[in-house]
Amino acid sequence: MTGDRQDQHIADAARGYHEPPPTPRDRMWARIETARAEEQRHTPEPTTPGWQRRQVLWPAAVIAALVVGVTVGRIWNPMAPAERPQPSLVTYDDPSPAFTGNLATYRQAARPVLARSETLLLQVRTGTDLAATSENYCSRALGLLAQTRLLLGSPAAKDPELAPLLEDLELALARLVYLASGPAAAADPRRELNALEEGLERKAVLPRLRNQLNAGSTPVGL
Amino acid sequence: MNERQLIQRARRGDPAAERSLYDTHVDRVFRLAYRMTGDLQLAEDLTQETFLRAFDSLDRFRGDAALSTWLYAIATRTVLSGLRKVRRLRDRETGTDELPEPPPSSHADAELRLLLDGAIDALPQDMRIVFLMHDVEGFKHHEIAAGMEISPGTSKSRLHRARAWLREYLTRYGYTFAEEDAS
Repeated sequence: MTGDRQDQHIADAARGYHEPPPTPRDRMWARIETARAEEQRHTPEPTTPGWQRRQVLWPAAVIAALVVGVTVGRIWNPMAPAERPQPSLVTYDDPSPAFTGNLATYRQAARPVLARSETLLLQVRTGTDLAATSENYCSRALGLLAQTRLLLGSPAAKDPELAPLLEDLELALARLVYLASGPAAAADPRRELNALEEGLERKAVLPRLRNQLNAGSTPVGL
Repeated sequence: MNERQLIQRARRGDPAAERSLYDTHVDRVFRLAYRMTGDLQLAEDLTQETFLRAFDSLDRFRGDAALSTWLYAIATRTVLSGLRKVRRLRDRETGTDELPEPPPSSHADAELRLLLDGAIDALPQDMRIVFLMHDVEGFKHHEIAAGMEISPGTSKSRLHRARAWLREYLTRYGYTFAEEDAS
């Protein structure tokens, strides 16, 4: 058999490699519509001043990509050990802000996001009927995720205290979105919730949120 | 309604136009994502992300290439980005062109598929992507090149290396290609 025929033979046989199932087009379209509706809700007003205007449109693709990041993590190991490095999430060609500003400003801007995130995560941990509240959790988590990502795209990402907390919060919220909206919600929500709680414990997210909220807006050393 | 009209309507937020564009291209995008990941949930997520990115940046599509080329470039970059995350987690990428240690050998044609699955998994990623996109899914080199941000010549070169690599792998692990019929 000549090389060309061998190549053709291999290509024909390779069509069985990861052979795709029928395209679940309706299911995927429904999620795309949901994500775009969230994008519309979180697009800031045109009169919004300062650095927020430089982040005018945060595509729902980022939200979906952050959920993808959680999916990727789950595929490999849903019960991540403490020593395993956290996956970094899909990055985008974000426009960089043209100025740095005072970090205190961004810490102040972050406070409502941190406070609402703390409330949501506490409710998830103490709630008894995840299935009944998942739509509410998903909606709130998506909104907070978008705002967290806006902060991470701002000079707040340079804040040595705030940035690590925002990154861990981003992961927790993305996981909550996945939990509340994906197949996990229908499969075994309690198991998935336990995994979320373990992640929160391991990273001490809630105590760090409380510390940041208690610390006020004046950054150390500034 | 032709594609240009659909794009114009989609830019204005016409949901029917958006759905039509989606329906036209989703199969190929999903198949690419699934071929590369082998995971239904991840393939769905990457497909969704591809279309979200595409709709968000449709205003920037200039029309100097076919919409399909532009869209599949987004899909390729999205899938590659997702795969990088998987690779970091799994630590599976060898990063070399060396063949792995041979598994227990098997000669039977009936096991070509099994052997080939291992061969494709073992292919260095830059070659695996081109092989799957071109030889399995039928993408053209200019489409592959746009998505991987390489030249079509580099795409062809990687395909050539991938084919040679697979032939060597199969031969080394005991697979015998049938002789051509002389008659």
